[in-house]
Amino acid sequence: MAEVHIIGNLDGGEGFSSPNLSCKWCFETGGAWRLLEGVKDGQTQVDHPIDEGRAHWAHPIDLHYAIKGIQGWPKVSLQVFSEDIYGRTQLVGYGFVHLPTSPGFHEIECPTWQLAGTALDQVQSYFVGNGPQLINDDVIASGSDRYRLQTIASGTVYLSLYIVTRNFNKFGIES
Amino acid sequence: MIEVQRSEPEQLSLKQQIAQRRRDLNVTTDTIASESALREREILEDSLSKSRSLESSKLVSSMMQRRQMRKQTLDQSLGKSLRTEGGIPSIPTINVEDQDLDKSQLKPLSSSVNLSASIRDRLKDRAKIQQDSAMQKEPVRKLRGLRNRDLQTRFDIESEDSGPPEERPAGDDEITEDHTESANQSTTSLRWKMMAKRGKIAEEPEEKIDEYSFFTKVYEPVGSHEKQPKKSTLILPEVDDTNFAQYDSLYVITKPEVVNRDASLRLFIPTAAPAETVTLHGGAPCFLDDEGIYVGEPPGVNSSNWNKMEQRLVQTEGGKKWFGIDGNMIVAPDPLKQISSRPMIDFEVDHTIQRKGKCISLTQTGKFIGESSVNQLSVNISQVQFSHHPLFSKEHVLVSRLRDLYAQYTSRQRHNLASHLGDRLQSLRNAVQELKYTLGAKPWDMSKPFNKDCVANLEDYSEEIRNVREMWDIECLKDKNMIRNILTVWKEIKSLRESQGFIATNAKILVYKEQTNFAKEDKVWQKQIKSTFEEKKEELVAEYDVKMKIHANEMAEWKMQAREIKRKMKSDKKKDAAAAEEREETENTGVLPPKPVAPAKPQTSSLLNEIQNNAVKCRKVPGDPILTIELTHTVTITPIEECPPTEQKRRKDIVKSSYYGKLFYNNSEVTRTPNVNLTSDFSLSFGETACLQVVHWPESIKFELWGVSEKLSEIFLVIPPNDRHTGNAELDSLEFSSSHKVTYPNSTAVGSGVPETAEGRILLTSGKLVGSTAWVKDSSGKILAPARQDIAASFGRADPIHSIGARSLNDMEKVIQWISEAKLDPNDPRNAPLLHLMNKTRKDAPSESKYFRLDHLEKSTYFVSNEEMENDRRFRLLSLRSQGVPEYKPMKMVPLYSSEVTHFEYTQTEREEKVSLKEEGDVFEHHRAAVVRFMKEIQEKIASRSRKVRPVLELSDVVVEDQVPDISTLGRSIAKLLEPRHPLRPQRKERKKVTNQAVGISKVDLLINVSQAQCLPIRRRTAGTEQRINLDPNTARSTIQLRPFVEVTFQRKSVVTHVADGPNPHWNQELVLPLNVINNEFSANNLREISDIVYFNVFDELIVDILQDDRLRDTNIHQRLERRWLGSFQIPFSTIYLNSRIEGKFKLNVPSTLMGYNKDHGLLPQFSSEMLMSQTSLTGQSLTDKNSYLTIFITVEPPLAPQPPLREVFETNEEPRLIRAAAAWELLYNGKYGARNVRSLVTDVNGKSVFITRYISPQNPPHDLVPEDRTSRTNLTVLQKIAKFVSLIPYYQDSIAFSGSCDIWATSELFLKMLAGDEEEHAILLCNYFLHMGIDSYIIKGVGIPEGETCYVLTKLPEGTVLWNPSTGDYHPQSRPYHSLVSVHFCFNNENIWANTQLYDDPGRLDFNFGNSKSWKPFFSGRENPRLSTVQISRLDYIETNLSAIQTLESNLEKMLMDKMMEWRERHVTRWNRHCRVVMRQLLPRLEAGTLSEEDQTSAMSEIMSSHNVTGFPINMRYSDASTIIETVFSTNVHVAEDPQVEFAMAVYIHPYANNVLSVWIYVGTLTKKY
Repeated sequence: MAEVHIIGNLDGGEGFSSPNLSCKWCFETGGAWRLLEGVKDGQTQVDHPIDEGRAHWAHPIDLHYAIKGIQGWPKVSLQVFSEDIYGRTQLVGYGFVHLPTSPGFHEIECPTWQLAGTALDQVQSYFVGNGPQLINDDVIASGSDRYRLQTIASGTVYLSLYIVTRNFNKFGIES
Repeated sequence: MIEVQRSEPEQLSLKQQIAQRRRDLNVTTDTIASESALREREILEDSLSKSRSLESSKLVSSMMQRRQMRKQTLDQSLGKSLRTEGGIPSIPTINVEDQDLDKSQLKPLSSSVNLSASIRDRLKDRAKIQQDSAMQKEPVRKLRGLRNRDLQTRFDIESEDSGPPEERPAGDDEITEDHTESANQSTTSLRWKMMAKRGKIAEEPEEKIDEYSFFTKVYEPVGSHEKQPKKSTLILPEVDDTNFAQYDSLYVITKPEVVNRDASLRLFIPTAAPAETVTLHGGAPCFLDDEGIYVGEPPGVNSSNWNKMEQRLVQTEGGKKWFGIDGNMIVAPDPLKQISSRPMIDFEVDHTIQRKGKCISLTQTGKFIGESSVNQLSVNISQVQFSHHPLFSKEHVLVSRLRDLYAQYTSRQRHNLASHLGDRLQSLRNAVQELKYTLGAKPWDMSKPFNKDCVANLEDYSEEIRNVREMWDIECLKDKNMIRNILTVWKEIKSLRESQGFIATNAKILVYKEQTNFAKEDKVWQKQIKSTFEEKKEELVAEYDVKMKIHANEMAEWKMQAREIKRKMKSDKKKDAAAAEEREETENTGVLPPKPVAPAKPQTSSLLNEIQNNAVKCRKVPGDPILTIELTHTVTITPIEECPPTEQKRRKDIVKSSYYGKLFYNNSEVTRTPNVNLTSDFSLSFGETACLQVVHWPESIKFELWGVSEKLSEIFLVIPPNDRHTGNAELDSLEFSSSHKVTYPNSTAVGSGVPETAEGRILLTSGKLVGSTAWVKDSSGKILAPARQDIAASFGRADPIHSIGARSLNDMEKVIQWISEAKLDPNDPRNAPLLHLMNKTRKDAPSESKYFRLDHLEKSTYFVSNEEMENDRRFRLLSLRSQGVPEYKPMKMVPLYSSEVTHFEYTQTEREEKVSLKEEGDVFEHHRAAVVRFMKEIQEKIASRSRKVRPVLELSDVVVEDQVPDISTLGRSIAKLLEPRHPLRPQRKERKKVTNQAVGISKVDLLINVSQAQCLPIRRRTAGTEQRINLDPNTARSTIQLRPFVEVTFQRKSVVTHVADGPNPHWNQELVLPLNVINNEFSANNLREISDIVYFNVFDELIVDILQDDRLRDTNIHQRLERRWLGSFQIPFSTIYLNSRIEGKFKLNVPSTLMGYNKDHGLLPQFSSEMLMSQTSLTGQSLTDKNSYLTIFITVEPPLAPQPPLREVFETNEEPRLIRAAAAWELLYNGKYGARNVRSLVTDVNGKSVFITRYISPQNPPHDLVPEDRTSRTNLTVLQKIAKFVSLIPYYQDSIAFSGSCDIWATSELFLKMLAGDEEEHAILLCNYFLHMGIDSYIIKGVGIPEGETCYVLTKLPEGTVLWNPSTGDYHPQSRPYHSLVSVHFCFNNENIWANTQLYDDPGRLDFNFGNSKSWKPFFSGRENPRLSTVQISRLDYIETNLSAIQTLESNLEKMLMDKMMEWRERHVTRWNRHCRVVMRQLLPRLEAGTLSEEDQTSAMSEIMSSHNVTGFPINMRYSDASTIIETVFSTNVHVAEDPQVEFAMAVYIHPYANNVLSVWIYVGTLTKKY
């Protein structure tokens, strides 16, 4: 029985409008994947970096999947929030990235985007923050509806993950 | 182009004239411009103006000639186009013979030219203007030169319009003044151009201006002629050659930009003038879109470009093929889409993006509109009109029929289909004639070869004519019949009125006759007949021709056959007659078929007659007056007193009958109208407008019309579309009918639903409702309609239904059906979406799947099946571990391979259960299993609930942060310096609470401070002991009463205090016990689940001298320490954990008889004589407090603060009002009085909140506990017995069972069934029993020792207030100083709850008078007490306890205990004294009965005691399971008897009570032989 371990860190984020960031993350897999142990979604703390550069979360990720087939290889969908000086959080980026399929250590960069919204939204979010948000977070990682969105590029989220595969060659999967 | 060529000579002459003049003038204008000599110019112009009149007349006349010709051709072509159009008779548009240049005649033309944006429009205008003019103008086939001609005519006209040039003021600004009428051109630009032209002209020799360019110059003004007619006014003076200076300048302006400088090049420069109309076949243009064929909108092209293109094409060789049959260039329809296909961003965004503050509506369920919008629907019920009513008289029936007919008649009149068809027929006929004429053939000559298309057209026309003629006939006949019917019905009414002798209705028919001119009509008539006749004849001829052709074919065939047969016959004859039969056969076969009969020649003789008859039948015969009918209501109705009684009755009934309406929105009634009386004209005027604020989507709006008692009918009103608001809503009339039967005997009323006598028709009540529905428009103009996401919206902007303007269509199927029925033009791109929709639905319909699966192939890619995955042991183990199943949770390591997971058991929990049951050999096995199962069920239920309400971590739970010292803390620390170092009454410091236990705790200790004990039993002075003890020189002088010490056992580990002295010892010793947790994980869940108990045992240490040899006594000490159990008590760890610390005086459970010890040790220092007095009075016996107490303090280090109990809101069946009141009441008193908590709602086993008083209700105790005698029921001993029974019911801590999340309150019935419950269940049962006994009793909720939060029962007996501990059965008079209940929070009974608002909360100091509102605050104050019904059942049934089972249990238990005892004494031999056991067994039932005094006991035991030193005690406890009993016996340490000679005695007795409640007595003793 093939198994996949995903062990690693949600390192941090960079390039957002404000460096005081937190991140909501979720691993999404296909139907052939069964989570044996671990938490597949969560939220990091808010980091207020002193050097004004990159937010560091170092949020641990530890997942153990048993798989029936390799369809639906996991992807991480992320939502980055920033906290302003008044303690309000606002969404600054959506993003998702497929995990690498080769075992070993990977440093992954996930570029994120933000909803553009209408001109009014932009004016409004300039003054009071809080731009438009997705009603359904599924849109982040599923391609079916995303084409309708107008987005603006946002910062990058860094992940460093170890992918450990087991018994793959038993089922003829070379890795 | 013939036309153009022909006109050329004239143009040339005109041109020459103009050119001549210009040449003359050139000089003068130049000089004027250069010298600007006004004066000179004036003079010159004066002279010019004199000659102007003369010359202009010349010019005009020549131009008029040309114009006439052009007009002629124009009119002819117009006529042609009209005729081909078919609808309008061909009329020459302009009276050509008109020679005078009359303004009025010309104006129409000019206006029509102005209007002529499209040819069609122009034609229609013409037709309107001159409909009456003659139509027999002989059409001359000419090419259409419409646009060119227009231009020329316009010159003339507008020169007339602008008035004679002489009248204009002469001067320098003349040019500008002329231009005042011009639309857009500025004078400066004109001047500039003028100057430029002048220069050009001056430079160029006049000869260079060749003929052609001149031609173009004259005819083409700048810009489009058609679109900017006003510009032509600019040109007027140039044509009018009287003002040459002006002319010249203007001429230059209008010259085309491109001047053909080099005449020799002979380039063709197209001008912006419209070209000649060219058709493909040179025939008259016809217009496809008028024939119903989709042509499409041409793309927008500047008309000058258009014209240039046309001109260019006309000029080129073979360019005509670019022109369509309508005479225009062939143009592809506008390729641009009307709809922008780029998705609108805001529309798309709304589906996926949420903006802050946007309310997400609940429309997903389809019912609710959403809360954000206010939607108001206005329903207007104006009136109801009956078209039939039971109270109609016969006359009314007729009148209503008449009214119907009249309505039909008026609608027919309005549409006037007959005359329309007549017109159409006429125009078709004209078109046919025209066609025939253009083909150049005589009407009936069909032999000549024709153009195929024309013949086909002709056939089409004649076919259409036939159809139209037939339709016309039918319509005419209908019209005629209509009038006839109306008149018949009217006659009937009149005769009815006469026969019945009164008039019931006011209807009256007026017939207007209009006399007509016979001659004129006859002419038309005859013509009509003639043309019909001719057509019919033609049709017959055509038919005949066809038939003849067929006939000819048949004939040819027949002839062939005949020839064949003849030849055969000939050959047959040659053959011999051998085969006669054969020949016969051949002859048979060879018989000629009958000769085809030639079709008869069409008979035209009768045809004319037929036609005439038909015409007479259908149409109005010439000379007949035209009848017009009008329905009026002018007849006076006969007054009621003149009517016969039957009619009078009917009229009275009308007055009596009244109706009202109910309005339903989505099938729920929203309003009803007041009663409305039926008026005499059978209408109900409601005039009601209901304004509904709408929350649900409108599904139906229904109006029900009700008679006095019965529903007449229901009418569904239209659900208004979103854009229909009160401003634009029109009144609809909706028809309804009702099938109910009504008859009115002895009345003229015809009734309803009964067959009408005359015609056998059944008349049903019917009518129509006039009303409207619309959305309300608010003051800001916003329509308060829900933003509906219907199909239209779901399709978005490119929605086919939306695009045709229909909105709010919900029924797709109907739409599709409509599309398929409507026969839409497939060529029209506007229909494309609809057709696409239709195709799509057709395609989709059969294979419409209900779901969509993206990954239906995914399964095929699996390399492991689901079952295999599920059955993998390793995976199962892993997931069980991650789920936190208790057995697997502590597993640190999981094998790497499935094969290594060997001891894997899924059903481990079940197995454990079974094993434990077997061990005990319990007869109550089944019962216990049931209880366990039930508890599990509830546990799961509650757990699933509490999981939803996960406690939210606060910052303090995660972050340990020391408070920054501020002024107050600083002040406190300074104040600390002033405090006494060693206070007399030291207070314990409040420790800081640690909320999250998981962080950094590796070791948890239980800290127990054993302070002191009181009233311990003292040793009985027996001879032996004294003797021995006296040997001890230290103790010889005083009587040693006791050497007590305390042993604390927890998790099988024990610690002891040092040995103190006396019955009231002080230890003041702190004991530490480690806490072991599963998996060494100090999480809240783990800690909560610890079910271990802390045992406190007080022993008396006895020094036994075992020095055998007295001689050695001086030198040796050989003693043995023996411990004698004095008493014990226990605290579950969960109590310590939940309370975080426990402090107080605990009552020791000292057995009633403790052999060798005496409880009576004189007067205790604590009790005053008064207290004793009060006790005596209460119990009626002289009892001192024999209880022993132990003062301890227990806590956990580090401090583990439990999670606060979940205050979750469970669902409830209580009234919301009560819930609100409860919340308010709790809020009012909670926290106000220290730690006191009030509660009014508790959770029952179903997880629902129940009001607390509902649990209290009188319930019957087991009958053997209740004395028959009513008076003795309140006897304290009886109550004590009941309390004992209750206390014997096993105890089961909820907080352990339900993870401390909440306390479950079970009903007494369930409690007795399950035999498990905690304090509140016991208390409720006890309280209910007491109430049954007629005792005023309450439940106290408060804090007790050691349970923590607990329930006590308070009874108000005549002797005084008594508190009962329901779980032990003890009772305390309120006046007793030491209570195990330390504080009272609130009390309740079946009626009310009282919160304790007194200063103190310990029961000894409380005033239990609940009527005192200062001390107690009731929940229901005074009269508003609703006396809530109870959840308890009124009568409890008790099952009889099985005695034989009890006996088995008894012996089993005894055996088990004896085995255990031997097990515990593994290093020693355990001997059992049978004799003692027998004696003990005899004693036990008496102990249970409470009839055994100490003296009795000693006397019973005296025999044994004489030979043995006996120590021993009876233990009484409830029976829950064997292990508890074993544990209790173990904790007494009886087995620790080191004496090798020791013998043991053990007796077990179980006293059964009802319902399997057992009282277990165990008597344990040790015997040592006396020496």
